Amino acid sequence: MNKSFSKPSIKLAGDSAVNVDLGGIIHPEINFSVHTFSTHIQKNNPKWLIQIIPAYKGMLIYYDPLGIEFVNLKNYLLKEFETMEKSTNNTSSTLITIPTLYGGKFGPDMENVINHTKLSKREIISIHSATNYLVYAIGFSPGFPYLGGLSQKLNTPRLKNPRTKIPAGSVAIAETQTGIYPSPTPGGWQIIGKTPVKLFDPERTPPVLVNPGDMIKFEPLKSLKEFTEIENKIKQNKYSIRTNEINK
Amino acid sequence: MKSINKKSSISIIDPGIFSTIQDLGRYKYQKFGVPTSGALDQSAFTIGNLILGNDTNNPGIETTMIGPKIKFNSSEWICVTGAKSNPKINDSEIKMWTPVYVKRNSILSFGQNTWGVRSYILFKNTFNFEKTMDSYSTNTNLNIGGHNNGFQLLANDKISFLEKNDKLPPFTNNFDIKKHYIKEQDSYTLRIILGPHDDFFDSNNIKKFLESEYEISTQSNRIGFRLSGEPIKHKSKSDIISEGGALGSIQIPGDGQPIILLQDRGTTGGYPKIATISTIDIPKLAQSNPGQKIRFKKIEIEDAISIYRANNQILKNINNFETKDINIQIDNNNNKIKTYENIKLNHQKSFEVNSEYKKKKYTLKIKLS
Repeated sequence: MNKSFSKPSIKLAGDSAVNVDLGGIIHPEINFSVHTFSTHIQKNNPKWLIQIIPAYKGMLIYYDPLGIEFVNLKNYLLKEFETMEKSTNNTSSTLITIPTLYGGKFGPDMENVINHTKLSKREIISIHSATNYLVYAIGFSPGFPYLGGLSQKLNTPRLKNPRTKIPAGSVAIAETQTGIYPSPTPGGWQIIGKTPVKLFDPERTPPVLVNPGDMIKFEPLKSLKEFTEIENKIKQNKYSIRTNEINK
Repeated sequence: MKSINKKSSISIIDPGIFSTIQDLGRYKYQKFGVPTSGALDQSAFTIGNLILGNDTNNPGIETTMIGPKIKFNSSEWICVTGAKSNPKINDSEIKMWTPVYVKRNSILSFGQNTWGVRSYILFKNTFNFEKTMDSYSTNTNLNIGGHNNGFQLLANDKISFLEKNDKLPPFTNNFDIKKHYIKEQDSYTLRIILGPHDDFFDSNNIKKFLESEYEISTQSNRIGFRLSGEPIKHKSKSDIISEGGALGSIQIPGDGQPIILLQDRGTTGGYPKIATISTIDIPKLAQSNPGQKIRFKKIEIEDAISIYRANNQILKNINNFETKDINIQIDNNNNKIKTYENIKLNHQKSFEVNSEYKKKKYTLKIKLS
């Protein structure tokens, strides 16, 4: 079954937004069609468009109800979806390398993961850093990437008692998901490491480091010294993030 | 000559319970996971700016329960709107919903609210600090925006204005609180449009949702209002794959107690949303105290849109009539005021203006100093 580009289902989200759904499940192809369609509408930039929030399998479109009637909006979206160029070139992607120090004081839940998975710390690091993770969406908190593709071997439930504040840069896992907390927020995921890289910086344009459709790869750092060196370079604006164009 | 007064500022003597700088919000950054923030009662906020003749997005201060005590280091035009908060300049009560001229060294303070929760202090002038991601709005959970790295107002804060602003607010307006603002008697009924996930609930549960009374819980803030009352049961799943949540969406988590998402909500979330509150009824919530009981009334999208449009038109009419810039000149020798066309008032420095507003009539007392 070709999961991508199935007909959108459009639902009301109040008087100033609509929910557009392109498929019921988390799937890279559906997600690709979400970002293709969202980019297409943003390029058209109709006057009534306020903002699109793309997510895993659909998007929320905020619009100005003074600018377009709901019925016309719905017809417009269906028509654009039919007529837009449906690129099938979903083969290349930007791979962003995130240097990460696993375990120790930066990975307070590494022990939990070791106990739960019966794997060694070294195995966990090697499995977690071997995958290229697809960025399905940005949301929850500023710059937080929803990543897909965590190995089943690392599947560990959330903490029973969520932390009230997770340090910025924390790399964490929960069930089949992994992610990086860009800013200090509450959260219940198992923290296994930390990156010195800033995923979100309001002073930067754009403020986010990764975009939906990008891939992320974690690169294990050998020591706290290495972590601190990168951290200092970032402070002095002398660090450049490694990115490559890759075939998926 | 235009005077640039570097001391054009306010100092916070006492911040009140929780006061933040807000504008209408930050809309272009939600795709990066940044909440919109912005005034919770956009109606009171917008009206205040219209009364002052401002751009409706000119930043102001949102107060909560008890407002701040503010010293004015320069003379400024302000307008206080929203909750009935009994504002005073020094020891004299001032009117809300009208431009008030606050003289240098005066102190603005507030009494107990006699209705509502949030007041807005709008200024003819504009704050002199950099916007964060195109907005002045403060999000204290994420420490984004505002005058001080995303913090609320704190004692001893000093907030500067862009310039000594000699511009006058419009001398008259069509504002009528009965026509333009929340009517107290229907402030507990919130109009909703079902969806986007009403299909997660059977008709009995939707009926229960529409017919029950819900109490606003104490765990309510700018992110969202938690309600307590009849629990709403999901047909099966109580979670969805994370997706964007609109302003005013009412999500039903596993325990069945509704949560209404407001301006500081995270951009995405994973609970099904049974309905969404019509935009123009959000201010009713912003002005509701914990413990207040509310009800939902289902309306169709066509009705919601016509209400929205009508409201927008009504607001536009607040200062939509034929006026010209007030052009006056003061004849120092004869102690007289002359009016001329095309002479801008902001060239005049040495006078004080008191104005009284009464529909379209006004009296202007000008005292030469």
